[in-house]
Amino acid sequence: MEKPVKFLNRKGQTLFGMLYVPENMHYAMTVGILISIDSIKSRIGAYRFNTLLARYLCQNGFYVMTFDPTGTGDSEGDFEDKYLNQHFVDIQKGRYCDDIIDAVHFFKTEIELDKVVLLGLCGGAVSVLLSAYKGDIADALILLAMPVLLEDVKVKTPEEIDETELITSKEQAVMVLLPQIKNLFYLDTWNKILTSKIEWKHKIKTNSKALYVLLSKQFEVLKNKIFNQSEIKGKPKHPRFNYLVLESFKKVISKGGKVLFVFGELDFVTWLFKSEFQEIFLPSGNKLECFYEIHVIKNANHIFAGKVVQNDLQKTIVSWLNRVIVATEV
Amino acid sequence: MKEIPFFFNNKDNQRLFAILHQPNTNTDREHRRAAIVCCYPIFEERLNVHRIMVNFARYAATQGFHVLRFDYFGDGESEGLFEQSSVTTRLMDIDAAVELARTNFNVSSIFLLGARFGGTLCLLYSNEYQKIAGTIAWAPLIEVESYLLKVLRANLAMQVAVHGKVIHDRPFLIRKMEKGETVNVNGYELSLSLFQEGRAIDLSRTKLDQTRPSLIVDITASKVMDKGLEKFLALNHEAKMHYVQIKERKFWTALKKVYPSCKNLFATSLEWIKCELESVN
Repeated sequence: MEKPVKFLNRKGQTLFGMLYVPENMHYAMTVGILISIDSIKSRIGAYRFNTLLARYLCQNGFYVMTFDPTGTGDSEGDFEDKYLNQHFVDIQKGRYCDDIIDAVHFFKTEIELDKVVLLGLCGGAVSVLLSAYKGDIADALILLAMPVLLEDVKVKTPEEIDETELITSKEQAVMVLLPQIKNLFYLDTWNKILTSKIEWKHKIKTNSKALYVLLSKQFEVLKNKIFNQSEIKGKPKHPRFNYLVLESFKKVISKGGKVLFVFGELDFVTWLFKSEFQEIFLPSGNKLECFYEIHVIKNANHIFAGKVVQNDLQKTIVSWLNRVIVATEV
Repeated sequence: MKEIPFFFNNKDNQRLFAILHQPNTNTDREHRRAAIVCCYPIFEERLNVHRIMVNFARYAATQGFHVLRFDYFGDGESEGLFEQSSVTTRLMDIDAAVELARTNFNVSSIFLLGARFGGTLCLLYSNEYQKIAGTIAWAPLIEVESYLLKVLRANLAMQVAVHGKVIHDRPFLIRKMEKGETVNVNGYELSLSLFQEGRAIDLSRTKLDQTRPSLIVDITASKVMDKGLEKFLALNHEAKMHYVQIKERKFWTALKKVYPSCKNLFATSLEWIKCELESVN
């Protein structure tokens, strides 16, 4: 059953949402999943991502709620005139946290929940992580395609993006270099080279950075094997690293919360997470591995578009919920 | 001002999600006898336009109008999958929304307001059904085929991301749909019915019912009119059709800056409705 809901946030503003109530309860405990919006795409999400995911989770016996924070979707409130990337930074610093916390409280008044799981994609993932830190409201988090770097507010157009800055992992370096090497076997490529149709400056810059990253990562792998790391330590390297993400994650884990990270293979955010977060703070064999899982969905982009990819994502989420939260056999 | 979210059924008993914006009681009584049914665009434009529609609905409600926003079958929070929908199903859903307004809101006049593909659908609906007092189309799509072919580009871009090159070109994707499969475009599963029905729409060759009042709002920064729109207006020059050009950011695209206020657009649209109501009275 799907039921439209309205509730007041702490500022007295009316927020709109949708409650998904399962017809058949499979589990002994009542698990509620709150899905946060990502940026400004409303509670429906890109290509109805949130609505379709909510329906799937509900069919699998979970209570789900989606909602629009203030100023977005159908909810009350104003939205200031600003650049979208500035809004991304605001989200990454917790713009939606208060409303998420209020939404969870409302969810709990509507349904007697045994466990609360927060779920979000991209900015939504950061939002629920920060909310869990601020409000201590969640037993578990499902973080999809979560960025660990703050948006670059200096960039106003796609042309201004410095692609080399995003090459930080071995996997991304390979993704940059491999097609270049393959292309050398095509006559068309040599034709472009000989007729000066290649942007040499850009190619040299990106390929050099990719090569540098590849070699330095190999060196790090050797170093890690010698100095075995078992705790979260290490310093972030990227100047735009979002420290709130790290602090929130530490707190959630320290309270016994469980976290599922899911990324798309084709999403550059995945490899930034790997190089700027996972390799530094969660190296293989660390003591906290029992609290989190990291999955990468093959052929998935940032928004997990595509039927096959969506099926994989949905099954990954439900499987994890069954194993880790509900603790029943799948 | 009261805002009520609810579900209602279309003629096929499929649940459609809607929100009714009820007017303030201290507003013009004549306006409270009119309802505006809002028709959304398609694909991601629907999400980009969402908040603009909400803001318009609230503005119109403060001016005394009932406003109904709804999701088509297979879209938003309505029942069904996107690939199960088509142009035909969308027109039927508009009819269901109009009927709902007519039977439940105690209004004497119903206007349709659509943005982009929603505007195109509104014009087609008003041509086919005699139930509405007027239509407003914000930046309607004139030649839908060129729009759908551009949309297919998203699939080609995805192939490049996965395989490093385009493996299946546009003709292949169209043949795939003809075989009964769907083509993924940024998450939406495009089916043959929607594609074929959509590409058949060319307003520049469509003479609309000359008696139906309509307002065509061209939202652009350019002073040069789109050729398709020019042909459409020329073909329908004898119709009760008003054209206005409004300088505004193209809010249906992914903008660098979020949510323009669109005050001029809203005011112009409502002024036209008020004029139409006065002329009827």
